[in-house]
Amino acid sequence: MSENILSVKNLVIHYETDEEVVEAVNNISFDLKKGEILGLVGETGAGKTTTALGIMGLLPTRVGHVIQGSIELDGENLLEKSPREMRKVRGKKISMIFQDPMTALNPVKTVGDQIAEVVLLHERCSRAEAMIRAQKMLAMVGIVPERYKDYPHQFSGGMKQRIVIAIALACEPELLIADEPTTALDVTIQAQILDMMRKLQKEHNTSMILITHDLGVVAEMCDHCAVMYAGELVEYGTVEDIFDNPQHPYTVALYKSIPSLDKDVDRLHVVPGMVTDPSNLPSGCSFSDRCDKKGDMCNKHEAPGIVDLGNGHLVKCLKYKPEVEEK
Amino acid sequence: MLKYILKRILYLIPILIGVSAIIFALKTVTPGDPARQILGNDATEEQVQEKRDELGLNDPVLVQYVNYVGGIVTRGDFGDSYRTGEPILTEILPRLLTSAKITLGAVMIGAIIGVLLGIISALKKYTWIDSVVLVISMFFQSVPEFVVALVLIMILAVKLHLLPATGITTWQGYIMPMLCIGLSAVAGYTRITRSSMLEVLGEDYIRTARAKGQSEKNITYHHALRNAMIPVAQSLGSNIGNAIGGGMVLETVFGVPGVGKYIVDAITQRNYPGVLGGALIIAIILTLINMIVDISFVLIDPRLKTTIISGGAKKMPKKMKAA
Amino acid sequence: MKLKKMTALLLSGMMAFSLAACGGTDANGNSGTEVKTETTAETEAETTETQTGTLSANSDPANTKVTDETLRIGLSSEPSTLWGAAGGKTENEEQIINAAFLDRLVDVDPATNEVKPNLATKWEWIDDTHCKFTLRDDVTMTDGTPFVADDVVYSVNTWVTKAANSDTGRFIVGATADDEHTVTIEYNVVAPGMLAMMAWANFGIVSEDEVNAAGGLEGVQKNPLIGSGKYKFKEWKSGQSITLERNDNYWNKDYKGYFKEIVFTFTGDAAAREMAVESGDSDVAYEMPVSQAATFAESEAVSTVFYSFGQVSHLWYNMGEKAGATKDLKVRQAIDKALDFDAIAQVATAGFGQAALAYMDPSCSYYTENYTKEERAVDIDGAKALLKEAGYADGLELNAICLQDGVPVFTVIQANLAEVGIKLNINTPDTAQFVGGAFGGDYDLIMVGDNLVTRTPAIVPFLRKINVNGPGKVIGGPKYTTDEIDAAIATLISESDESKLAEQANKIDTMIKEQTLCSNGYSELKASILAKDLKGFGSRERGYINVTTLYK
Repeated sequence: MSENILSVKNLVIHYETDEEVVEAVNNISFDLKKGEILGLVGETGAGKTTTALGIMGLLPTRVGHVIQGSIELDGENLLEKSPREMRKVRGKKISMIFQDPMTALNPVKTVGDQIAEVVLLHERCSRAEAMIRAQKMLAMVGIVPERYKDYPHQFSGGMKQRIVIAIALACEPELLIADEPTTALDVTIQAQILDMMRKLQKEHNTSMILITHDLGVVAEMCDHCAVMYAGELVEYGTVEDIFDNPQHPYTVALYKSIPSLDKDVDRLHVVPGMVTDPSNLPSGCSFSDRCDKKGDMCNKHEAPGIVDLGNGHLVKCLKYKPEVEEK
Repeated sequence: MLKYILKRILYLIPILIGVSAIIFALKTVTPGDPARQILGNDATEEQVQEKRDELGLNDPVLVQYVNYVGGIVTRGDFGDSYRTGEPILTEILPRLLTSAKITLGAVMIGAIIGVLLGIISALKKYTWIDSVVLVISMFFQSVPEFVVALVLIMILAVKLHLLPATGITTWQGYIMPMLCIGLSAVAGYTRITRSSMLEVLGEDYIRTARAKGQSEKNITYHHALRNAMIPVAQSLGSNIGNAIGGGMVLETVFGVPGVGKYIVDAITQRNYPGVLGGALIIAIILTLINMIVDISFVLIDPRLKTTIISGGAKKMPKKMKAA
Repeated sequence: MKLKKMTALLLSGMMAFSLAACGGTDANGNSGTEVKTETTAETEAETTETQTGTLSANSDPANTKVTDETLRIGLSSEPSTLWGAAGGKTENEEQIINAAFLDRLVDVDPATNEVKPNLATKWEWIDDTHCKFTLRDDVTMTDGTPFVADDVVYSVNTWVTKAANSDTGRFIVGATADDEHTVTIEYNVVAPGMLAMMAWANFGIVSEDEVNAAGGLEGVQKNPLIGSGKYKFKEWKSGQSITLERNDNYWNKDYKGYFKEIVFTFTGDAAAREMAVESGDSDVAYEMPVSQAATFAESEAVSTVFYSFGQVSHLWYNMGEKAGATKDLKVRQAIDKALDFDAIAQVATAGFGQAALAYMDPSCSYYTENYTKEERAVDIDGAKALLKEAGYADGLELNAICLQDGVPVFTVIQANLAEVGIKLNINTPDTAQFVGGAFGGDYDLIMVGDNLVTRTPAIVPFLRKINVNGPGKVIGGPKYTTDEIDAAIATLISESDESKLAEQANKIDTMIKEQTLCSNGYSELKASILAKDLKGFGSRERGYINVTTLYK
């Protein structure tokens, strides 16, 4: 595996309203290599989608702000690009698949039009050519190409998500961000869609960020995995690192919450407490309130830094800073 | 589709029975003798009685009503004007055309200005532009139409000599009545467009379009507008009703020979067949317009086609909910 | 006293405002207009020509011009017919328009009330009820045929048969042609004033052939290609306009119609009618509410004309079967003393008219003043004393009935009466109920106008026995009369010696005054708004505008 396609460094994103400032993404950094899939895991509100929108340059206007950091795609900092330049990146170099396929398609346009739209935007071709491309894309995601004249309401949820994927892949982007692409679908459909995504990803050698809260999906699909909590990246490593050797107490807690057929448990383990309110973070470690391995220093010491456990397995916990424990 | 249209036409029947019954009831309780009205005060009591017999005014109300409705259904006969003796339909049809022109023009003016202002204020939400648009549209909504009318005559006719003050002898005569009725409807369209635009702009498919790299301008006009127009189009039907209502007053102010003025004159002249016929014909037209508007939604919102073609709402709600 | 004046002024101001505010309904179409017609028709008090100040006309020796210009006149409503005589109707707008295309046997000089030749060159009363007219021999009807005595006979027969119940037909027996240019009309009453009445728009002369060519008695009403007037009918766009064009064959070659065309349009809203004149679209806004016209009196852009038309408004006391306290002479006198007639006249005429000093109008040839200003002054103490004598020391309650446009005047009356302890309720039912109530005598006080300029057989109808006791009916009045009064009015109508008229009128006036059958109100005014450059404004009987005299 060669160079990084995407490199996020020290990214801080705030949502600012009249009433409050929400620190949605708090100083995260990660890299993504070409052709690899990075799983972004965490509970709702952990900042996964915000990170994705930050990369896309689609943070809500007037509210969402990138405070610091850089997002480099192929060595170019996306944050320094003008809105006009960003429009050329979106859809062409980076595509995004959103969570709910039911609402992601414009109800008054045919699906063919909606696929052709992105082709017309980024490639020099006629409308007719774009429509042919749209039909090819439909075929690629497993939909009868003749249905390009149909409207979104004439498709089922799973088929809609296929269409959304067709739109996302129409211009063969270098990076695909999939934000919980299967959450809204029936379980049986989920597997089909994931299989298809994986297949297409392999065929086109697309890099991908897969946002999910389903660790099973990560295990199946991803090369690397990043665990987010309250806007911070608490653990990062290869899928093997994270699954076989989870280090952060939060990651461990997440595992315990997965139902398993192997173990005979009466009830599922639940991560205690509520997700920390990002607009009101505790001092020190933001997970400290819910952590079952909380030490004396966790609230007193400043937020823990990142510790490299070797081989790029990163974790953010005071446990791995023995010098702090000793003090 | 055909079945749907037929069904809608069948709905006309109870509506018209209701309208005609109400107006007929009003006629019977309002004081004043139409027979004397026709003959004038010089007529003797015997002549008045004779006329009453001739007009069937001495029959029981129900008989009068059945005869009236029977005349309409079997012969398209809405009765004769007490004032001129002409058939009501002959008198109203040319006036209907005049009113239709004005109403259409007014609705178009109102909708175009209203939708444009609505889009502007949605795109510039919470800015001073948004507030200015709100104030302007509220102004035209809250000031009575005839006041706007007189002010317009004052400015455009009396001071600037741009348009004729009254009458529709030239095409310019249509402009002011259209403007007046149209402007009063602007606020409604602006409000609906603004809120519907804001709602649509927050939809996921707008984000999808942005993720495609589409420009904001195209997103507004190609993705958002058509979706945002659905509630606007739905309000068109009732707005046409309002415009006809506004026309009643304004046609009198502007001296426009339309149905509105005809009915107003008929009321003051106690020309009951005129009032009744005018109201009924307007009711028929309004119902038809609403039907046409409903059908035209299909053109804007393809989701509805399935509902209408499949002839019922049995299948749709589930899908609509899902969507 | 001063305070009272102030109140009246204030009230008048308020009234003017309220009138202006409801100008729409007021002048809107027919509610107002039709009532007027009804009142006059019903009261049988139709009368003639006016004093207008402006007398110039197209027959002005200085003006014999013929132009290509168009005259545009804004009326408040559209007529339903253009020749009402054929259908037994009279409508204000119909009378105004057909007066321009129909010609009559005689004319009346509005300045002197003198009867002048028109289609008839001379006339002669053969006896009390027969008048012989000698006709012009150079008149051409619209269809190109010459005007002959048979045309008069046909016209008269139409009035008698088709308009038997209206003033157009009911005083005439018929007509006979003595030769081609001589015709005798027989009347069923002894009334020399009938001659002047023949100048009214009702009595336009037509020929049978042209009526038949224009669609018979029914069709001709919408397509009146008839008559021999200065103008002839051109086009009627239903709901929109009626157009007349100059009659190039008019018999008086020196004084043909000045305008190529006259276009009448119909605008119910008085303010819009006025603004059409101000903007130059229209030359005349006819029949403006007086209070509204008053606001343009000082305008640079338009000229405003106020004119009386021989009609005096009287406050009648009910003395009939349904009468209450007003049966008592002392009560009537007390009310008369309590009223501030100047304030009433101010409010009713927006300050442009005067309180009446007699039952008759000053424009009548037989007018004499019958009250002094002192007699008409407010006398609260006198009124209270009279009420006490009548047994109403603790006050009483009375009901007045009027249409919406009468409210301002009755509000002044209400305020006046409150000062002497009379509580006045003002009832304003809709037109139909008003007519019913005024017919039936369901009121204590009512105000109705009496048009007295032409000495028709229908003047002072409220005090005629035929109306009070007989089959006739009047709107308003005292519902009471005496043989003396009835006889005195009959004498006034039938008197052929004009020098005795004033004395006779004064006799009637005195009888009314003695019994205080009514309180004389004010001479009613009409108002029209004209374009600045328009000259020759004149009015016809009953205040109708005379469109044929206008020029620029």
